[in-house]
Amino acid sequence: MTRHDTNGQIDVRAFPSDLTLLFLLLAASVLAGDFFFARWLAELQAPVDCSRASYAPSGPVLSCPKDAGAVFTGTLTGLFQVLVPGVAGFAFASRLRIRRHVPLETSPFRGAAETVRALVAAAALPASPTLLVGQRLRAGAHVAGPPGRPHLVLGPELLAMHDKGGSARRVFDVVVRHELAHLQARDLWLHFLVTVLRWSNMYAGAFVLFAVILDLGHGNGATASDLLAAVSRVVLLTLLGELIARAFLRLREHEADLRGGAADREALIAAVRDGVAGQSTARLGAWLRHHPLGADRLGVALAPGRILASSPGRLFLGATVAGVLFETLQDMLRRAADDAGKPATTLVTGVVVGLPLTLFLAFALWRHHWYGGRTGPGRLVATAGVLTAGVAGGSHLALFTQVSGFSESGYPLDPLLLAGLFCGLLLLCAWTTALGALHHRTDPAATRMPAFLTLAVPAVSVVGGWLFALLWTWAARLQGVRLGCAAEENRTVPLCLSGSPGRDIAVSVVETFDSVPVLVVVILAAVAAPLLIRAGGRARRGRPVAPDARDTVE
Amino acid sequence: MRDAAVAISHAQLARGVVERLAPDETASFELIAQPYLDDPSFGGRAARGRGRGGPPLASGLDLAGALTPTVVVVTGWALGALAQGAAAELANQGARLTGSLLDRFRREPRTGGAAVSVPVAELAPGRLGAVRDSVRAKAEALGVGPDRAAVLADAVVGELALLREENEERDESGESRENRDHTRTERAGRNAPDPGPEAVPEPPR
Repeated sequence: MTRHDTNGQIDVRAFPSDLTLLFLLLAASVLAGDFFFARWLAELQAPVDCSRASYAPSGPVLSCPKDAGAVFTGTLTGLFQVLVPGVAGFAFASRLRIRRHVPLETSPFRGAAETVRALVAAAALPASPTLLVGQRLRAGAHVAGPPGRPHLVLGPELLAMHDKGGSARRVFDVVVRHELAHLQARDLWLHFLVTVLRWSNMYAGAFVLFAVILDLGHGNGATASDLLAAVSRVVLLTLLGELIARAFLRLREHEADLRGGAADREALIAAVRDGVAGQSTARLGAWLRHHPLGADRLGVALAPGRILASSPGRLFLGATVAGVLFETLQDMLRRAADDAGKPATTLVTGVVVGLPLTLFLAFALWRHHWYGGRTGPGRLVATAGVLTAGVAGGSHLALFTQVSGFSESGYPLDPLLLAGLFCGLLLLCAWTTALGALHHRTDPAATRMPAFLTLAVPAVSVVGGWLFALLWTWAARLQGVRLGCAAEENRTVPLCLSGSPGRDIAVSVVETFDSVPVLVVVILAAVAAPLLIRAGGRARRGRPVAPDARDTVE
Repeated sequence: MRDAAVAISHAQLARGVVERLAPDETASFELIAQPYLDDPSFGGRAARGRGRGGPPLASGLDLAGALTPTVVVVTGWALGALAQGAAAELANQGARLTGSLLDRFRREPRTGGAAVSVPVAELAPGRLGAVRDSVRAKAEALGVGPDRAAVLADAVVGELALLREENEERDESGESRENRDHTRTERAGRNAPDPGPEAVPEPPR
């Protein structure tokens, strides 16, 4: 099946959004970082509580723990400090975007005002927007304001199109519907969350930089290379957040286009064709845009199936942010757990982060398979390579592990471990794609995706969760061994003398994961899912095509 | 007669052309035209901002919705040319049209929608023919199709011719030059009271 005839039939709404998962990964990563930062700050500032003092095992030194109440309230205060600038920034920017505009009711555009009111009523929005004319918006439009009290701002040149009739009037309707689609999809809330995350990311990063510079200035062990590393991390982490947030906002624009143009696709195509003429076509700059490139936007308007296409860059972003989250969560759990619970932290981290990463990967692969009609081996290898680079690289970007005293962090850059990660991801990609391909053969229009997802998502979650738990445990143990072997007293330990600690640890990890019930569940999920999907497809084959096989939009 | 001058308001001239060509935009003229009259670089700056897609949750489309912005730009262009002396301006029109990049860096407003003093001699029929060609070329450079650009140029020249005739009628009725200038300035000042330097606004896209 070619790309074009697929595009004409796919129900793009049937697919879960990989970018929404990517955004959730970003949110989890930033919020975990914020929490870590707040707790670290609280522990530094909290007074000691000597009513629960104990003697250290190494000698007669009285050890007073930090006051738990003060740590708790300090953590809340720290979170407040990190998150409030984003809230204030959003409120300020929203106010800027609606100031000095005149109400549409009092403007000379009476006919247009009536039409907009009718479109708002038809959209059945949770909160009706205040209608304004933005004199300097020209023929543009936007929604702004607090999410609970939205404002729809329209440019006078756009409003003038209403009275011109014909195609101009249809374009006017499409642009207004596009903006109302943002409100229907609660994009103002999403924009609010994106803004808070971006600001907190930058704020916490800047604070860490400040701390490192102070440390450097006081000669407390920090070196110029520490400073350089911290600066690089802050910049890259902030850039990572920005790239994901903007990719997410671009997807919202595509979605709003498709929803807004559902009633009049010709007008949507005409509006986009006219509206993007002369816009920048720079591919690199496109990553930092809030709106898709003109060519991409027109492409999706012409063939909505294009919205399913994935890119190596997007997969890399997803894997990188998961890498950050792996390291942050691992460090957080390790600090919170007692000695007995520490070994389980790698398992928990692997499952908690690996599961959404697996789903993100699966959704991206399935969406692209339906878009392209097939997935070649080259793409699978490239995907596994990109994910390996992302996870390994991202784990070294985590900010707060380094600053707060851990000397080594991140996925060990050991060839054996990297090869293991790559092979594991390649197998996962191949198996996930095979699941999708089996269903695609009998459902190229994606009319029965819910049934497929009901079967495939749990199976993928079990296999992916298990795989990442295994891989992360391997990585974290090697990390721990390297950390331990750096100490003088451990130099003679056999594992530290081993020429290939990665292989030795792999053996111990396999022994840890040899639980028969777990293995049975994983193998059952890996084998049964494709068989069931194939059987379901055979049962359906021969039946007439479902009459409600929808076109690409609505 | 050769030294006589007429004060023409940019806003008034543009409104007259819009009344002829797009009567449906007359009621909203002030709302649409004001940013372009206030800031001649507005069109170019706004278009450059929109070229990057605009802020989040905006339409991100740079649509040519109304005729008014184009009219404001080309009338500003015509007035600038007339005020400087059409001959000198039109002789360089080719260089001016291709030199739009330089226009982008020119920050200071040249009329800001205010009244511009134009020598009466520049409104003579022979001169207006050159203005028509210049305006048509400018409109086409702004992306207006050749047919519509010709209509637009005719409308601009028509408005200027009307202003010249009004001026001649006043001359024939023996009105004193001081009174005539005062009346003209007063009429022009209704739309733009602050006289300012001449302007050729940026194209809207």
